[in-house]
Amino acid sequence: MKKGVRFLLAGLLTTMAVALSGCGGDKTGGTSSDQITTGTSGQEETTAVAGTSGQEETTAVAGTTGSITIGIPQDLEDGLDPHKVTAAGTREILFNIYEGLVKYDENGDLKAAVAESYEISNDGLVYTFTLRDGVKFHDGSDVTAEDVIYSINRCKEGDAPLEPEFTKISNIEKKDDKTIEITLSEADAQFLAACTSAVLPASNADPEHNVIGTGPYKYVGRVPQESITLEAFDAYWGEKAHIKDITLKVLANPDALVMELKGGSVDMIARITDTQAAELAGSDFVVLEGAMNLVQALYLNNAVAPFDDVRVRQALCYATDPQEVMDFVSGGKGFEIGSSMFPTFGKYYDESLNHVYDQDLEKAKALLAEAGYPDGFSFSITVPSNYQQHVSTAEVLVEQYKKIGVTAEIKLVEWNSWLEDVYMGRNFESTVIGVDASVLTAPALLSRFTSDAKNNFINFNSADYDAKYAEAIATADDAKATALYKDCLQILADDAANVYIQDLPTFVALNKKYSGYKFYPLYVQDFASLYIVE
Amino acid sequence: MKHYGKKLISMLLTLLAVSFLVFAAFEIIPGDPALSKLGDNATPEAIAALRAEMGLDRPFIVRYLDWLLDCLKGNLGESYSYHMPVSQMIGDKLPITLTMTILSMLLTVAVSVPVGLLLSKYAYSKLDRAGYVANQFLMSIPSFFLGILLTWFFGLILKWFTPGGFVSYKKDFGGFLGYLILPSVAIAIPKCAMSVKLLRSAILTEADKDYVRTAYSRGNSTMEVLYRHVLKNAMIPLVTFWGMAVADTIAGSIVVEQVFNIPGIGRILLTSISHRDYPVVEAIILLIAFVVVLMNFIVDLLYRKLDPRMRRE
Repeated sequence: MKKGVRFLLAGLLTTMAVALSGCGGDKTGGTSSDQITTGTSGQEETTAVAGTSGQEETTAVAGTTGSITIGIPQDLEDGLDPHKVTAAGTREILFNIYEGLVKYDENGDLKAAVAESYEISNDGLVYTFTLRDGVKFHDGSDVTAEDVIYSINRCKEGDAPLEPEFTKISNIEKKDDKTIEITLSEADAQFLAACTSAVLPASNADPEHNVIGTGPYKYVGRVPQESITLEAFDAYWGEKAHIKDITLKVLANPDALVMELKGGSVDMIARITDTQAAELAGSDFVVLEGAMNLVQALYLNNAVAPFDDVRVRQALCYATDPQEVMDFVSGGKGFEIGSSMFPTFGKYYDESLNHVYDQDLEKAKALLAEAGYPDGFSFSITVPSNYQQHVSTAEVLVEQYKKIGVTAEIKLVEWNSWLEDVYMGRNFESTVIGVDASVLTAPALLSRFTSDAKNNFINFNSADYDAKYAEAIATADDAKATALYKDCLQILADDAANVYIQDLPTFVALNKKYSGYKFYPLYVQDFASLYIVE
Repeated sequence: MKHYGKKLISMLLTLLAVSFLVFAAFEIIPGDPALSKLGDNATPEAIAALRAEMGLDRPFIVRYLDWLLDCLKGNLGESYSYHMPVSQMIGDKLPITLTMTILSMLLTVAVSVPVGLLLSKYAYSKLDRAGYVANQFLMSIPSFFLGILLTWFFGLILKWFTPGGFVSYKKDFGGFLGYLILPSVAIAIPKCAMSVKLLRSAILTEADKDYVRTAYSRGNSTMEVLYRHVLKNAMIPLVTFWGMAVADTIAGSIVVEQVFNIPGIGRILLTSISHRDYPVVEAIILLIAFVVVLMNFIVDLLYRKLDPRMRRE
């Protein structure tokens, strides 16, 4: 769940937002189709539609120069310490400032960063990292093996380790100035992904106030609720950023986004809605389309009646038409899903799961009758009121379930209440929310459905699933493990753990003066790839 | 002087009560700063650790008294979200909201008094009736909606200013003032309309009174009667309203700042509430409460200035 992101985006002025955007509500983006570049199934394939000033045809102004103002929907409210921040909206910005031993590229592959290379022993227990020459911190000092060891230790100690994966480290050893050997107590396919955790200088006692990383941009300063300034780091080890100065401007009012863009005070906003995208037609902006990379579903509390009966859950699945939801919520865009996996994660995504429950009202009614509810039943959908798209989704579902005699009632709650009652307390019947992956691994999405997982807020309980999942994480062979994860996804679909709906679309507005925006299959913004068009 | 002593004590008690209520409110409403910060990464251990770090593991009354003691020492604590001293944050933001308040009050006074006088001079004429209709209309438009209209018209149609082009007062004070003019107009218009209505009806009520006839019979001209006698009395309801309006503008800055994307006190308050950033919320609400009681105090002073009868008590 993108904490905070759509939280503030929707803001407390939601009522106002509804009133004001009402007039644009039925514009399905048709008017701007010549402007929106469409990716077919994944973001990597995003291409410019012919006839527009597409992104790919332009060339960059040479050197690191110029400036850009980028609108962000909320301030970095959980701080700047990369090991402690949790909000997706903060992490996606810090991606530009900090790097780990490895980091993700735009295809979702892990590539070496502070480390130049790494080797994993055949039993999967020993990781040997060779540090890259010439990597410097933003304060000008060199990155040493001590800094790396310090950073890892900082995340693995204490009662509540900052990076739980690191608790599996049994030994960490400096072989020489450039080589670090990490030994794990058990093989763990997720370990390398955890090594994206930021490397900090050991000498920095206060990372919260003294922001020093190794990334392509360095932190300059901030004014709360106003702006954050970044500057290109001229001693960056890799390809240097193209744009010198970046101002991240906090735009708290979602209704003013289009005005800010058109008025020229902001050059780029990474997450706008399809309605806002339509309003930008014919302006100085290119609108790019990608996916949010989350699993939006009607999550059902599998432990409470009537959802403890698989037939009832399946009945709801048969009664749901995801396409209708997409038409209503995001102008027909969005990517259908049938299990806890989103399409950009191509390795595990199985399109056929979308058709396990094609809408079939007769079957739904029959299943309900079989389960002992021939006349339907009533239940509540708890939705955090700040996420407009989840609220809208719930509204469509309510209408769809009326057709099989089921009465759903929407209960709007504040985000903090949702976290406390629904997510932590598991005190709910159903909820509409989007679940994301913090790292690009299958367990990031699937571990929560094991029966003893602490974050299994839907109380899914399947011995079959637990067995498959345990086997998958213990399997070193990638092809085998992938097949097992796919089996897990199949179980989630067959057992109708939740009513899976879609991965929501997202739109990026970028002034035509700039180009080079890259979509990632996870929640990051890569500012270093942006450039000024010559 | 005894009167002021009493006033002062009641002011302090009000602030104390407000601070306790805010503290208690956060105790009751759902949500927890540690959970809010950790989001869906929260585990019971991580929450416990963070709560301890924030000092939230102590009993409610201990926390309150601790906070109160620090507060009296002038230490408002540190923001959970920004890791900055709260006093510094408020110090940075207050000039923004205050400037907007002052600008809008200047506008309100500068426009409403002459218009009110004009309308009462031509009472029951066509001009007065047109003024009445315009007034009713302007009074009923909420500031935030006016703000959106003004931004759209002056920003996107006439292009007189850049929507969202707020500049910090530290960087460019002229540009800062320039940007705040429209929000101030948006705040001032409904208040102006209300002031005109109050002034007009107060003057007309006063003009019927015996002392006015007496003043005329002593040979005063209309101007002299108006400025020396009528206006003084007619100002009393107006001053009361203006006092309330200042407090209302600061408290209501949440909405206008949101519409115009101004990073002032209101914005900080809004985001701090949603993140359960207690030290910041507590300090800002206390500040707003302080402005309210301070304005009451000033209005009280002005009453005594305007009306000598109130000084004898």
